[in-house]
Amino acid sequence: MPGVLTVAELCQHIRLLLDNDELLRSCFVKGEVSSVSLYPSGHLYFTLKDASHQISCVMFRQENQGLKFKLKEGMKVTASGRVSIFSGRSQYQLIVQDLKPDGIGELYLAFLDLKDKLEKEGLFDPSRKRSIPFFPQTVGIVTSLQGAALHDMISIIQRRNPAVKILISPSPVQGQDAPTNLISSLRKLQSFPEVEVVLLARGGGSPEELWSFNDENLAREIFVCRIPVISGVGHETDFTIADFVADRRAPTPSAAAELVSPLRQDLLQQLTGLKERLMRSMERKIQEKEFQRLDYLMQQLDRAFQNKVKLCDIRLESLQDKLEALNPYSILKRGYVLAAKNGKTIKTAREALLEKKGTLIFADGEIEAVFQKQPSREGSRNQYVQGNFLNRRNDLL
Amino acid sequence: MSELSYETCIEKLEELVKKLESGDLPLEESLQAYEKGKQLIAYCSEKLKEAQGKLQIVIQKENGSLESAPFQLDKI
Repeated sequence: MPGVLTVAELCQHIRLLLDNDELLRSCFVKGEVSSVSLYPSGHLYFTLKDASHQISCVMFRQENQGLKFKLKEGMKVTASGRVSIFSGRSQYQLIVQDLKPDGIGELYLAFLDLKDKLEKEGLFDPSRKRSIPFFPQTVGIVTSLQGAALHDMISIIQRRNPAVKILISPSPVQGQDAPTNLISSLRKLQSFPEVEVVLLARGGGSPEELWSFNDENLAREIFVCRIPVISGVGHETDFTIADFVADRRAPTPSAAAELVSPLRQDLLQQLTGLKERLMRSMERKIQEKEFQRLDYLMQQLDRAFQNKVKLCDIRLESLQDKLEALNPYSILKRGYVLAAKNGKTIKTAREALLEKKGTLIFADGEIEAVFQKQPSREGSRNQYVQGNFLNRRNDLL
Repeated sequence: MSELSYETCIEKLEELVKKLESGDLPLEESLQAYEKGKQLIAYCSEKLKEAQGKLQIVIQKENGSLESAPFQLDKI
């Protein structure tokens, strides 16, 4: 028979119908939870119902791990997800992507819309996020003066690093006027040039209480803020629009405070270490240089000493020459004779006559001599001498 | 130097010290590096000093101008 389908074909067809339906592909459903059952696989099965109807729901492990509350019987929730068919059994079910406790359903939708919109505009773009200064000198804080958050942040910063200055720009953090006030406080901080980073913070609270941080104008103000902004709103599981647009999200106000206050002790230690290394390396360099200088001086000294010795040699030689020139005996070699008596030279004829006897010293030896006056005035230079050669030893000279 | 962040100063300092430690620098440059290093250390030490009047609050005056005033936590 034409047009006869197999069961599988029929199921496939129905599934395609559902999968292609605009509404069923992405819908929000609110209802009461019943028959909650967490499978060992980690998938969460439950039923959503109202007075007259119910629908099977599954929230797969991957999704339900992000769930910020524990799903319980009777709980009123808003689920978002798509409707599809579990192939084998032809049972349609809601495949839940996200789940919010009720009361926030409307707000939550608005939140998702805004998040989507701002994301498309590029407000959450990681590439435009500014880096947080590692050790800011002045930190601006936008929060309520009433909350415990301010107290926590101040004490954390002051304990960790008392060198960090804090400038508080107070603002209510909940209520109708909170967004406008938060914006204004953020703006005020920007007129203080010393502020290097801003903590936009609020302690934990219900989703409604945190709602001011989902404000569109606040998001835009954070985006254009001159100073990098760290958000620290609520608890770790709370995400606000401010968190997405901030340059950095801290899970809590305390965590935000820690991000801007590196432990002073660590910094001091690091600096001292660097200082020591600087000193040591310079000392080494100077020592090295000192040794080089010492070596050089030693060389200089060595050279100077050798020069000195050489100089002495030269002077000695010249002295020897001089001495040689003055040696009275050298003159004898040229034929002169020296008259002496007991080792004393006789310089005049008169003296010789007085001594009567003496020694005549020649280059090659000495002879005894008798001095007497020549009767005649004529004669040679040796007119006073008359003597006998005595064969003296030559080596005396 | 006043525009330098603490982190940048520390990075510069690390660089100088490494250069000095390598021993490759001539004495003249070593001395320069050493002097620069001492300046950086003094600058960083200054930044690590405990801040005076470290807790302040933004106040808007009647004419709309902003100023900061001392603040005490126990006033909350």
